[in-house]
Amino acid sequence: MKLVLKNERGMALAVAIVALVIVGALVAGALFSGTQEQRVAENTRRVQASFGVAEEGVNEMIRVWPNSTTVWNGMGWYPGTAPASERRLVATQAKSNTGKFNGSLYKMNDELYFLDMSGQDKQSLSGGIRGGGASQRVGLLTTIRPLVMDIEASLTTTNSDKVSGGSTVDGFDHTPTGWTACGPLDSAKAGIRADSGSSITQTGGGTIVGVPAVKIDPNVTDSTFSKYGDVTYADLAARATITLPGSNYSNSIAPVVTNGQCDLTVNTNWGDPLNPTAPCGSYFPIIHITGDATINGQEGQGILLVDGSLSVQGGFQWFGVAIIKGSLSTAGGGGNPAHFWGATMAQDSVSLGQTQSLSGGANLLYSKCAILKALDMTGVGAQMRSRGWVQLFQ
Amino acid sequence: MSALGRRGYTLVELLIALVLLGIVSGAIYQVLVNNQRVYQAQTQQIDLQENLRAATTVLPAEFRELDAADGDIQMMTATAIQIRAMRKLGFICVAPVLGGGVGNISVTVRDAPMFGRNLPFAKGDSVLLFWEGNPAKRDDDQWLPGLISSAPAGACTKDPNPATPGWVLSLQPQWLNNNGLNIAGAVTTGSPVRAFEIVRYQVYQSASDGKWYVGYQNISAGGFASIQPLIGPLTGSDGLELDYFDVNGAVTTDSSKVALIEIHLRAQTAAPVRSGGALGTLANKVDSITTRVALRNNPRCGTGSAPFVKC
Repeated sequence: MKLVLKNERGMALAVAIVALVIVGALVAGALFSGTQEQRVAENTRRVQASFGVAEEGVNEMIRVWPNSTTVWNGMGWYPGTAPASERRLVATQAKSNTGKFNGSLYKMNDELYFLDMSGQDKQSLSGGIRGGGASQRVGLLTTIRPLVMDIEASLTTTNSDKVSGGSTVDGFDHTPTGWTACGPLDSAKAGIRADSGSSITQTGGGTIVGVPAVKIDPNVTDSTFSKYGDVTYADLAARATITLPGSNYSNSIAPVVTNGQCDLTVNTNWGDPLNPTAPCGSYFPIIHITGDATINGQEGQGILLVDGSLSVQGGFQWFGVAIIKGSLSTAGGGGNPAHFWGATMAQDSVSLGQTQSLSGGANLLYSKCAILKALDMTGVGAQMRSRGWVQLFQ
Repeated sequence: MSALGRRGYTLVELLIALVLLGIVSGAIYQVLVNNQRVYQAQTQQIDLQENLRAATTVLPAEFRELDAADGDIQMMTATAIQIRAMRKLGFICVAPVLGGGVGNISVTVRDAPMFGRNLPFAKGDSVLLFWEGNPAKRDDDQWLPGLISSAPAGACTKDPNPATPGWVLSLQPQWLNNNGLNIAGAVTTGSPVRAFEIVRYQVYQSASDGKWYVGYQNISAGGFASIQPLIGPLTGSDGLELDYFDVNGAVTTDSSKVALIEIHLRAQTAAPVRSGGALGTLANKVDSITTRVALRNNPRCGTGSAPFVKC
């Protein structure tokens, strides 16, 4: 019996092993396929989540733009000399808590920006995903939404004006000295555009030029001064970079540079329009003065909102848009008269016989470039009117 | 015991052994066959799902960038759509000189940033140039078409650093005839340029295997290139259904009013799969998916915006 067992030639074990190997291989294959499929499916889900995060990113940038105009609008044109790090946006947690987005903002020109945003879902961010996980990239072409201002003249008023003492109101387009990238000159505007019933008086060497020099227009109403498309005076005041009480700001309005940088913490720093390449040359604040103000030097640029009346003494230089709810008067200046480059709107809604009194050699010059620059540098970005959304690939 | 004295197997023993061997072999065979069927079924199912997944990636990515109001949807039915699909994005560093006569215009596009596929811009690319017009207005902003007749390497000569590389695109756009568009300074430095292709997605039956697919066709050399299978096989001629909705959520047949496209896809496994064990029926497994894509690039204000919003 012992001998028989020794000589046995069975094949059950071999067959069983072969069968087990084949079954094992098939099961392993099925498991591998299943696992791969699950991984692909999970990756697809992560891609979708990342896409959502990236898209939230570009929309979030548009949402916070009004709080970022000083930095974003003040950037130099791409490529410029600034390092790429200045274009980088801070990585931000998605509000949906599904991941983080970060990217870059390119300023292509004063009106046009490009947002390049990458989003990564939470799971991919954790770092535990083989191959680095998912990431998606979305681009947004954005343009500045300019205020729809009814500017058809160098000076727009609803009341009577008096131009005297060598003052000039000029509706022809002027490019401020030293300003570049202004584009072709605009067609001539009216010197003064005033509501029906207004009387315009020229005395003592006052000059009014434009096409026409004086335009009496019944379409000039209160809303001309308080509504600019879907933005109101109050909206604009709420977005002010600088809010000041009514006061006498004699000689204190001037650019301030600290450690080579434009010091934005100083409320009387209203930019440096006379030196566009200086540190404060690209700073265009929205200034809101909540009462009557007197200014005597030096310079400022952007959008000036005055709830009361504005009296300009001496050689103050303003570049951009000035909206004065009360009256505007100028005096003094001598050989260095006050200048308003851009558009000036003085409502004088009290209507108690106040007049726009321009004397002392003040010049109100229409400047499309100054207006556009002020609107571009203070405006908020919005997705381009059409075709602004771009799917970017890694 | 000598070799001659050893006993052999009896016939009964042999028969019993054969029967047992047959039973065991049959069982093993059955296990193997079932395993293989499960494996095949699983593989087919995975292929099917990956097909559907690809469809929900490819088609929405194409549709998202459409601007229906400006004619990006050139033809649309329930089973086919022909679109202007965006392919490249670049930025002008030397703006064209406008305001002159009719002829070629030259536009230099930056080498970076530039996005898309088959970069850089090349001869034969159809492009859309952003026309700024009056910078103080948004409602006049528009995109104007052009065809690149040459695109040699050049430089962004207006940059602070003239060495910045670029590509000089030569165009001869017909809109130069329009005095309202051929205005000096209307296309500005920094403006975007987008290249596009005309492509068609449609259900078709393959001549080689008789199955239905979502096919992709790209225009080339004055006509349509041969159709390529992209997604499938589908369940039949009704395997793809496209529904078009306007901004109010109502079904629309007006291609300029489309704000949302709903994609229904019904696909099947490439090979039949037996379900329900060895005696189960042999048939193709079917799965379906529905996805909706909102068009991101329709006008947001001014002409073509729906509902109309003043810029």
